[in-house]
Amino acid sequence: MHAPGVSFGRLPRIDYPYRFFVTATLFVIALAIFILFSGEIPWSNRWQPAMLFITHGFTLGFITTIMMGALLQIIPVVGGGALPNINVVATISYIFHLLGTSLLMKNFVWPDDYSQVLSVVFLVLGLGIYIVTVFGLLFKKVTQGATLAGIRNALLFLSLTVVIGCLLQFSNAGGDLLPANKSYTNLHALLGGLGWMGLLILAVSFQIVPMFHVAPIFPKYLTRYLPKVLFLLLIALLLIVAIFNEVSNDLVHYLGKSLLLLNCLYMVVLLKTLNKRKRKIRDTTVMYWQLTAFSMILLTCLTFIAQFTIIDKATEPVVNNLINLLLQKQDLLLAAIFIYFFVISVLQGMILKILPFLSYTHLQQLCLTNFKAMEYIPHMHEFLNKRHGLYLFFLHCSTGLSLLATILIPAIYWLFGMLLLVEFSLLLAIMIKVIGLYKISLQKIKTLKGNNIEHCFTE
Amino acid sequence: MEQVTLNVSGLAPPEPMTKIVLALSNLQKLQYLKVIHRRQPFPLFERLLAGGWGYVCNEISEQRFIIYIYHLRDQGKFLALFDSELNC
Repeated sequence: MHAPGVSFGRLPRIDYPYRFFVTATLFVIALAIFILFSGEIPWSNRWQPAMLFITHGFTLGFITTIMMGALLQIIPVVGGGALPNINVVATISYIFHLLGTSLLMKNFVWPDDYSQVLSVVFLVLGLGIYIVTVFGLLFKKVTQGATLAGIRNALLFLSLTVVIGCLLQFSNAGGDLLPANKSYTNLHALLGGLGWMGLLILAVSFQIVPMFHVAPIFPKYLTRYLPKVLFLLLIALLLIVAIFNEVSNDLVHYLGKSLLLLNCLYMVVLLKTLNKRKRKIRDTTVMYWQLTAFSMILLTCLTFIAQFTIIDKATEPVVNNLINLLLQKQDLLLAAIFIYFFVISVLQGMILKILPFLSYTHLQQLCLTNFKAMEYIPHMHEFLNKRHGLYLFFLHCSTGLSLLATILIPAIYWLFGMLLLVEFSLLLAIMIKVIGLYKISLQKIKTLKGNNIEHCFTE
Repeated sequence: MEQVTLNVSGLAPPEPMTKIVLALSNLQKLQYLKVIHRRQPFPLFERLLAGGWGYVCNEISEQRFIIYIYHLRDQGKFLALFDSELNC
């Protein structure tokens, strides 16, 4: 039965997630331009200031921004309820997150005291307001479900990642809170990567894959226990580093590899689930999921192989040199596979699905008060041309491969920069087309008599 | 009251919503819609109320839901029918 007076998840205004999506894409376009002008220096090692600029451009500027926007829509749809004070939260957190991320990135390459302090303040405010609001809602939910519980856990690790990031910034400014070794930097990366991003992808996939692809639901033992095991392993990692101040000990390595292995096994299940979907028509989002899954499998294999690689002095010098180069650059290569092929693939696939879906759904819901509005709603294929989605996918693969090549051969950085610029310009163009078509359709529906339009794109 | 049945359980979003809206636009007086769905369409529920529709959602299993949608002007008749025949 329905319970009168209970909000079952009213969708927020469509421009709230869209502003996050568009801004995230602009971040990467700016990043691409930076890469084109920064030469070969960033690619020598992960500690280069320009490489930190690039890394945080992807992780904070694109990935976190997209996820913040997406959660605003996902939580109501999966029964999490309406976010309180959504107007204030979506605006203030957006502004502070945008400012904080921009200043943080700027400070890596062009440091100054003001931007160092302001970046921390703005990021804490932006992410803090967002996290507290979503957390507060999810804690009140009586029945969580695996997805909502997973989102809550992912946000916890985002919080921890931000806290460690702030401590690192403080240390960089001369503070004496953290040990001089790189243990907390690595922890920051692991908690942000496998904690925030990994757990969120897992939680969201539990819903999105069966929902959008008419696939079977994931096995109960998986949705019930896997997130908990991953959560505990990550907490154990955090405690070990906090207690021993050291990341190089064997236990931490085993924990890290266990995390990867579990994610890898989940991806195998995900591939099998996708294979059982009812309608096996070609779908670019499915291709993205498959790329994501294979990337995690490859990443896990490479991590284990790197441990056991033995350089035989009798091997051909060319092969020997290549192995040496791969081992020397393994941190960057593994990070690139994780960020670009694993995380960004999921997000791009999700955007291609969500953008037309949200636009269509928002317009469609207006039809319940006036059925005549239905004739003004464009078909889903008019929102997103399937061919454009396919172009984007192949561009994404090419850009990713050029990224790996650039890590090994920094002289071809310009190729990666160019492909990145083209790829995300296409993504931006797709977004603008969808938003534009939504606005035109909304305008036509608004002119119909008797409509009570609550969700307007602009005031 | 007359039942109109709609099975959207094999459809991917947003087709279920499209079919439901289309079916509602064609509903006549004293007709109600029985929707067989894989999920609980949460965003739909609130809009239904705003649009002058009532609904009842029964969970049969984790991936099977029966949603009855009726016009609020027929609420009395529908609820009487639901209590006597449909809610088994």
